[in-house]
Amino acid sequence: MLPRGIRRLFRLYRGHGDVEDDVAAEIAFHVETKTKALVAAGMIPAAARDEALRQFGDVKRARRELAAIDHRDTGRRLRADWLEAVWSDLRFAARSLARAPGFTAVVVLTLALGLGATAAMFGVLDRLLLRAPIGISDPGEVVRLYAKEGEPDTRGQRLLGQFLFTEFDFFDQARSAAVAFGFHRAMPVPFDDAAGALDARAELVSATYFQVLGVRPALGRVLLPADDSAGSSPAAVISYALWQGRYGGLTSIVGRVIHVKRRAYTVVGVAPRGFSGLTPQSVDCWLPAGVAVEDVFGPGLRNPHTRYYVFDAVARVRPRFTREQVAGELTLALRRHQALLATGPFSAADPGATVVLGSIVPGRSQVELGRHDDSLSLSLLVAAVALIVCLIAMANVANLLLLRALARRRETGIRIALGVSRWRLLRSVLAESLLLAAVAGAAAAWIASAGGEVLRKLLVQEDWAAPLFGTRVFIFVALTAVVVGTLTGLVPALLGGRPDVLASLRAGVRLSAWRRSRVRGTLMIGQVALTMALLAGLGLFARSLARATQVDFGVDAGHLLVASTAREDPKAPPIDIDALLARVRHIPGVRAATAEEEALPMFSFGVSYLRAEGVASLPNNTSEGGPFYSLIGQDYLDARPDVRPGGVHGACNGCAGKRGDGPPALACWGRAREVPLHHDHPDGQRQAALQQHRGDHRERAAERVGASVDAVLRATGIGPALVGPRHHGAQRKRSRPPRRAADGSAEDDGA
Amino acid sequence: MPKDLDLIRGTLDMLVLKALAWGPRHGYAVTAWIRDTTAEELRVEDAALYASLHRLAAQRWVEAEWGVSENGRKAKYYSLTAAGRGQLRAQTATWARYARAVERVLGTA
Repeated sequence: MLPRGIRRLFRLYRGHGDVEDDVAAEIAFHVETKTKALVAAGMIPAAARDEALRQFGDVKRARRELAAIDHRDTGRRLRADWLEAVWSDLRFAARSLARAPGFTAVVVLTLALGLGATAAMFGVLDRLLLRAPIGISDPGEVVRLYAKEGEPDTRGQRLLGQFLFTEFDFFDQARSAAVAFGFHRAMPVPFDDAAGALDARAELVSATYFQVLGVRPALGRVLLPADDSAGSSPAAVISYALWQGRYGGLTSIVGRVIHVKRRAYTVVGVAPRGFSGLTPQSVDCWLPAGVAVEDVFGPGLRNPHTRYYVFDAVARVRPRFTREQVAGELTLALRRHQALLATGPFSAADPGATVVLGSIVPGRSQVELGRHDDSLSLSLLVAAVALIVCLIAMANVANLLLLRALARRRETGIRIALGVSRWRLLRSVLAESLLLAAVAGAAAAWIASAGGEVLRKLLVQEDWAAPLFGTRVFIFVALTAVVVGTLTGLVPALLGGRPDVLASLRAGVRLSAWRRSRVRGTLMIGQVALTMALLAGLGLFARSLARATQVDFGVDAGHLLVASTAREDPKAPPIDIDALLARVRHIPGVRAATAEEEALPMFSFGVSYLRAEGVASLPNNTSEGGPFYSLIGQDYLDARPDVRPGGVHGACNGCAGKRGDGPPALACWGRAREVPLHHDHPDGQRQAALQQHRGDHRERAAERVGASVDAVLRATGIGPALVGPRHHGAQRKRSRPPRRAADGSAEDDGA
Repeated sequence: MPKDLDLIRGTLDMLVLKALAWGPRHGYAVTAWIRDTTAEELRVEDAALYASLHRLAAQRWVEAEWGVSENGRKAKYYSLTAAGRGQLRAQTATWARYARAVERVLGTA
């Protein structure tokens, strides 16, 4: 900065520091001149000075007042100057970028892709790892409950995420916390209302659920404890999306009747926008578990000995209680329940079970459980890739800006020779990079909002209740754009060094541009390193993909048509599947038709066991790879010749050897037909399993399955077996202690 | 009282602008000119006139710059800007109309 005197001489702008001095000097000049004038008129000097001061008025106050006026004015001028400087920098940057449209387009596109991908992944991870589910008030007080097995099994003690339906009553009596249960994933259910049928996702919740989570309804009320007794008139809460999409947001929805699984529910309220329980996965309606549990699971869940571990549990810590107190109290409740089990016919209790508290952030609870599902690990991976891509893009842009700076050395040299300060130069470079980043940020926001959802669906194969792109993602994009703009501008400006003015003026651009460009080299190396990492990952991924496409799943979906009967008219009688099949078989071109609970043989849900006498049960745990099996019709094997024997090798846990210590498992029916229906267990046991049927077809399906099973067993020589939906089974003996399945699949005795 | 003050301030501003109509002057010259012209009938402290000058400068009606006075001392000189000249014309016209109207009313009484 120039000395004050020189600035004053040239009438350059003056800062706040000058104001007081100027005012003092002005007043002093006035008083002196006046005194002189009075002396000249004949007064003696001392009296003249007094008279001058008297005529002037209060000097101190005047100084203050004048200085205040000038300070305000100076402030205004400085602000105006600053704004004008910024504006002129931006205009200059915009003009010079417009002169290089190719450069601008490349930079904006590069940055927009990098930022857009990063923003989209931020959106995914934000929902999975960073924040509590939407709609929960004071999420800091809410904890997720886990049970820790008391008896360490071979893999050590485990944290288990789900609880029994009957355990709720024990937890509900806690004084230190309010506990709520929610079915751990939304169930696809037939849903009907006056407008027709719909495939809906329902969540079964304890009636304390909404109150414990502190959910404020968008309309009407939430479920209350009174709704949960079996005798109460069934009430339901529907989601905001369903309300808007199906009912046009009409407030008359409250009081309407909907049918879920043939039971009529009165809609009492609408959940807040974006609320989907404890996971981001969308839910259409919430039903009180006490009312709906039989419809969905049959009567078994009310029996404490039925081991359906399907409920997530959360608790809100009450004021003046610590988390340790909550954990202690709930542990006691859990053990009381276990003591009850100990008196039951199977006398299988876990007296050492402990309740552990965890986070309600969806991804964090997975981490706490020590088992990420694929979507979380995949999302983390893709986020890392997006970050690397963003870094590469930044390095690229910094490099391009550096090149541009080098190409403009002559111009810069001239500006420096004219006395433009380094700060001023830096500002114009920054204006350029920030302008680029701002345009790229806008494009990135568009990319993230348009493409983020597509990316998210690839990673997390479920519908989410709330859109990915919201305020938080927008703020993320804006902040990142500013950081990226500053960094990409600063790196070449600061590390590029001050150009040698004389050399650049003399030699012009060409030669001096390529010398001494260490920054360029560094950026290049960084980029190449990151790109190599990405390429290596890509190569590995391509290999895995090639391998994955070669896996023979034993299923050939060609020439196969699948039809679902999930939509039911609640007033019509149940569908007669046999009659339906008979009609389908008469359609020209149909070679064969069969009924099957799930269309593919590798999916199953809620299972029980069929096993040969004297053979230990299979722990059924879908998250550990199976076994998977499905309820099928008698003529299934005729209708599905595509289910090839042995083909399920890779997909079947026991066969695939995915876990060396895993149990041998029955594959699926295709395997069962021609290959013997067993695997040689290390200790020579042979096992077979069959899914328990569920839902409305329970009785008839049992007969059909029984028939198939007999045929299979005869073919494989395993011998007589009992088909075991547990309420059909007679006296059974437990052969192993119960195991909790952390992902909600259940174990039920079948033989 | 504040209304009176506004009136006085506005009038002062007008007088100060008028004092600068013939060319740049420093603050002392402005105050001396106003005292002489009004024959000291307007009892205004010099401080008020300075405040007026600074206010007018903040409004860009007057421009201030440091120069050298006739007796060789550093002094702050004020001059009218184009906007200030327009303002003086407008205020003079308004004042004249106002004065005429008041005079007419008082004359009829």
